[in-house]
Amino acid sequence: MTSDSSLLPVLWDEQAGDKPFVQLFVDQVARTPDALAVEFEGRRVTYRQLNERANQLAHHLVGLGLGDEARVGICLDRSISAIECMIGILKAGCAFVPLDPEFPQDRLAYIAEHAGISLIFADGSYRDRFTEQERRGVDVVSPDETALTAETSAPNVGLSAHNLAYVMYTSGSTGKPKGVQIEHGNLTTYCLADARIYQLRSDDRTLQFSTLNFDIAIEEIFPPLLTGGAVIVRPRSRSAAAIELSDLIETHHITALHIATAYWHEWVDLMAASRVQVPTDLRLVIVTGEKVSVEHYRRWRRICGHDVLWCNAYGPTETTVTSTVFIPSADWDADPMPIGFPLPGYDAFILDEALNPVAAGETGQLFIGGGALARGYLDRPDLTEKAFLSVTLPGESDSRRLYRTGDLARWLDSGEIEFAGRVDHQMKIGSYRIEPGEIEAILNQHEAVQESLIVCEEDAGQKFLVAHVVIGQHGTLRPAELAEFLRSRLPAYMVPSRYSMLPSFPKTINGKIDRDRLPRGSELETCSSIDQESEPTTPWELTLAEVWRDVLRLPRVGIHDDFFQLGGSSLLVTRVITRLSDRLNVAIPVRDFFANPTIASLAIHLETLMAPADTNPRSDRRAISETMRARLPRIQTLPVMSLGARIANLHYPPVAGSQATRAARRHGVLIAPSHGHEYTRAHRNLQQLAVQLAQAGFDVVRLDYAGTGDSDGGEERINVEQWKSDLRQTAQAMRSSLELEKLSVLGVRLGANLLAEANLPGLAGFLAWDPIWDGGEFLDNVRAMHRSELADLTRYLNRRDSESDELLGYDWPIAFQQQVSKLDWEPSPRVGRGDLAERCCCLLTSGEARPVLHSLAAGATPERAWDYQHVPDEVFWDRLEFTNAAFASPATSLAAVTFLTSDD
Amino acid sequence: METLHVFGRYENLVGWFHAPTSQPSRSTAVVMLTAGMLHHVGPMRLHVQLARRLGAAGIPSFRYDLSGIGESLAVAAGGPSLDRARNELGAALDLLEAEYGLRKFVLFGLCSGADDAFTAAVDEPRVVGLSLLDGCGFRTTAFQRHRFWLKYWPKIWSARKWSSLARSLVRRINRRGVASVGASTMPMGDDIREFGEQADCERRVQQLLERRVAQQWIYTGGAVDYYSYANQFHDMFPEVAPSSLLSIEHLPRLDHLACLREDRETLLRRITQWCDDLTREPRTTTPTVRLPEPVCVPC
Repeated sequence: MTSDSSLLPVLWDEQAGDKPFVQLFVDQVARTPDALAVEFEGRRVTYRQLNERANQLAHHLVGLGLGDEARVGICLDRSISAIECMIGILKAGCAFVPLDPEFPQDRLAYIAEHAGISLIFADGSYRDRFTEQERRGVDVVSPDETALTAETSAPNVGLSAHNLAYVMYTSGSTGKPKGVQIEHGNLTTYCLADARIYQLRSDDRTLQFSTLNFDIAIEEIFPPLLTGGAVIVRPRSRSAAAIELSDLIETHHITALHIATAYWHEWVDLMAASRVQVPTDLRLVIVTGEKVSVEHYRRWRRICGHDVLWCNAYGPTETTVTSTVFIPSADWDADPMPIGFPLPGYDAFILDEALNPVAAGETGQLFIGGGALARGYLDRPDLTEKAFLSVTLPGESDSRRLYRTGDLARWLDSGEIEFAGRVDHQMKIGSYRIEPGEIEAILNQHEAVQESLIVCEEDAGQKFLVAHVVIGQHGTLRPAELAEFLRSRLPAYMVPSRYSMLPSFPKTINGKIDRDRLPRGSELETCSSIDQESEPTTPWELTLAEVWRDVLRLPRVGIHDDFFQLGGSSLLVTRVITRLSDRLNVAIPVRDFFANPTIASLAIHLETLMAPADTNPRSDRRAISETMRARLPRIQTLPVMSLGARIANLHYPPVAGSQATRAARRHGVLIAPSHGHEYTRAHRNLQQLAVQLAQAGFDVVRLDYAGTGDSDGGEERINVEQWKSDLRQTAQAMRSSLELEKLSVLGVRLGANLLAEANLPGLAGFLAWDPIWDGGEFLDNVRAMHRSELADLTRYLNRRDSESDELLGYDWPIAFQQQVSKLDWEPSPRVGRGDLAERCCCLLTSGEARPVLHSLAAGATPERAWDYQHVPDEVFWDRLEFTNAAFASPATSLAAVTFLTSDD
Repeated sequence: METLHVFGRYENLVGWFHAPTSQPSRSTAVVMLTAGMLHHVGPMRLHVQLARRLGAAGIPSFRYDLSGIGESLAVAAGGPSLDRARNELGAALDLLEAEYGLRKFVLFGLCSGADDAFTAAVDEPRVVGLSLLDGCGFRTTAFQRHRFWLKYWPKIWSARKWSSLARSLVRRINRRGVASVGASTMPMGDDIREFGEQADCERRVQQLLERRVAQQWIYTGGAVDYYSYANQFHDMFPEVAPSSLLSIEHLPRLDHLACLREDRETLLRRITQWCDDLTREPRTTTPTVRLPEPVCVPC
């Protein structure tokens, strides 16, 4: 079956909305059993294979006694397995519950407990997140390791449209997330409407881009699987292309794309700035999640040179993904963009407070009805009763079940719906729906917080969360500290980026918080502190400040703030450069940006470039350089001999001047770098971290191990025992030469492992950044990269296979390789107990590290437990193409500085 | 003996001086400029290895970071990167003159370091030699033919390369006439190169020769997208007369960073030997420069 339209009548005429989803899926399998259903990283699965594997999983669940709406958790990355699990769970009569591995432990535990989950399918690297659940008898299994029966036919499970299909948790105003229960009939109604309105075709290739705990994933996976199309799962490896999404679409010939609005805006900006056209394979784009910027839509039309069905979709999770859609006509151009008409099988009503329909043009609250309305909130009848109403509309004898969206809307003359804001304070950042009450409830748990209020602000099209916090007249609390507190308890998208610390809230005459009098915009605090002298004044400074604010999403930046210390990364550097090129036709090399990392110096750089040749240089050029210099440390050496080798140590003393009050910590930090392929470009990242710590008042020393960098020796010195000695000698020299009261250590990758085994006494803090938990695996990875590098014809014009001769950081002596293979994270009991130092913190940017580290957490004694923090940087230590990626680790650097400063 | 120096008007630049480990010590020092975003250690310690080889031959050397790279702090307050590199090189030479009494220098640079060295040498009378690895290059009439045999012919036999080529062609067709943008991670290539105009480069080569500045230009296989055959240098700069001060070498087997041990050894030996010849004292003749045989490629 290849006709793209013939499938739809089959689906529609059978009143299939009354059928369970799996029935329609089985019908589709019968239509095109050998058609491609799912593709992932080169592996292709047909409909027949997908169905059979799902049947096997269903048998497995039935065999465990599960069924009858038993909830099964899925904590899986995007993959074929994940889709097989979802369908298998449905076929067994169970309901799946997406569990996002990025959620904090407490939140995952709450969802697992609240949903009454009895089994969790989890990828191997996530299984440790459910140690506590396993202890309580919940089965946590990897789908790929599950022993399945040979039975590939469907189990005999009676299913109806009213059976529960999945439970999706969303933000809840009470401080806990709430579980939206979607039934098979809801899902079927939605899928059929989706297939019809978006004209899904059997030759569609739909990109599965979203994480599975998000509505968009439902949209990406289920409708295409009823219409014979293929779901192409986004590969794990990131493209190095300038516009990654375009590259994905072109490489995999994607025809249908569902995309969150914020991400679509960014994609359009990137394409427009680069004068790149929309990929020609694409025929369908559905933008959803937030209000669409009409300006971006106009840009889209300018860069889209072929026919694309472009849709603006709207819908709460409670109405199963999407309830209305707007498809602009060719000549459409108005602002704001409507959210369109209800989907087939859905109803929409705009009602006033008395639940009477409002006239066209009048604002009321949007209610959704129809066959896709959720069953309600799991075990929360109170919330269900408030949100799902039985309403008898004027002129109708029977009541309807309607969902109160909490969104204001109005009918346009065209019959379409226009979104008009929220009734309550619920907000959307990116595509995430956020209940401010949930964040406030966590904020109020902080001992220094008396009251709090979360609001959403918008600046230049960028939305961000603002936390207004009452800390009393004499309270002191830093935004960074509060952000850190929240980060360990809430998903990253719920952590505000702006703060105001108040003695009390301004109140209205009625005693309510006077929101209009709360600080906003430039009155809010970030990590950057800006004085009057740091305000941009010249035209170039003002322009650059605008670009920086936009790219860094900060309300204010000072002209002397370092781009990289404000959270800038290499990716953001390219964005700044692209915007300067786009707006001002100014091209600057990347290294010029690195040499001018403040607005003040970059402005002078640009002025010089653009000025006529006979123009005199600015008179304040020297003053600006001196200001920049005053904020930076005066680098020295700290000579050390270790086993006969001179060790090159660089000492960054505390920075005096602007932060003089903090420059007397008498607290030293020894930074132990890693070694290997990440050694080359990661260097600058560690230098920047050292500078940041020196600015925070620490005495920082960074060393090159013997046989590396500037230190003595060659490969004969590359030896774990030598390097542990290097660390011990340097630590000793720091204590004796720098008159320290405290010494903390910071180890990166291999550096963390070496520090853990170096037996350094009396440490105040131990910070491990992505330690190597399995030396053998690490070594295998290095060897594999080595082989790959030699076999590829990118570096060499001819294949080179003299493996042992490679110099690219892989020429490790055999003895060293043997030592590294034994450098597991856990061999020392001190690591397991977390008593390497007074305080131990582990920063993780790699998901793979979690299993070992969380098992260590489980075994730690309470007084010396590790503080595990997952930071959102994507460092990719283990990928060859990202040897420079450590440049892009601003969040890790910030977390490191926060950990070390919080001790003082 | 290796000594750290912090220098420059704002004491923001960091470099290491390598004293010779054998006598007699030469009065000409080699100064190494940083390549791209890599720091003074050089790619896979190239600069450290070279400094130690030179030291063993009695040649002092200095390797340092430009501002914003490696250890050096960014306080330059603007200015084009080539000007900044020239100013900072001047500061490095001032330091070496003041601290060690050195007055003659050979500049070594790889990639953008070669561009910086080539530009700065014109205005810096203390420079007596240039050793440039994958310095500037301009495509000539014969360039494409040689590049085909060097770069694409071996790939014809690689299935992996065919599939990657097909994808790349499709993308190129789709993006025809459209400008490209920088990579999503730190760009590795073109944006850090500043060749300048071809005629201007030719003029600079001549000016330096007239000033008796010896030049070693080494091109590796890593430069194949702009330099693909042994005689290309002379085709690029036809006005530059052959000179014993000019050494052009094409080493297509090596990659841009000479990563393999055997390649690294080849590179270190050639550069050290050339510097040794150039700085040998008393200098009775101009350095012995061996003009290489053109690389034989099937055509």
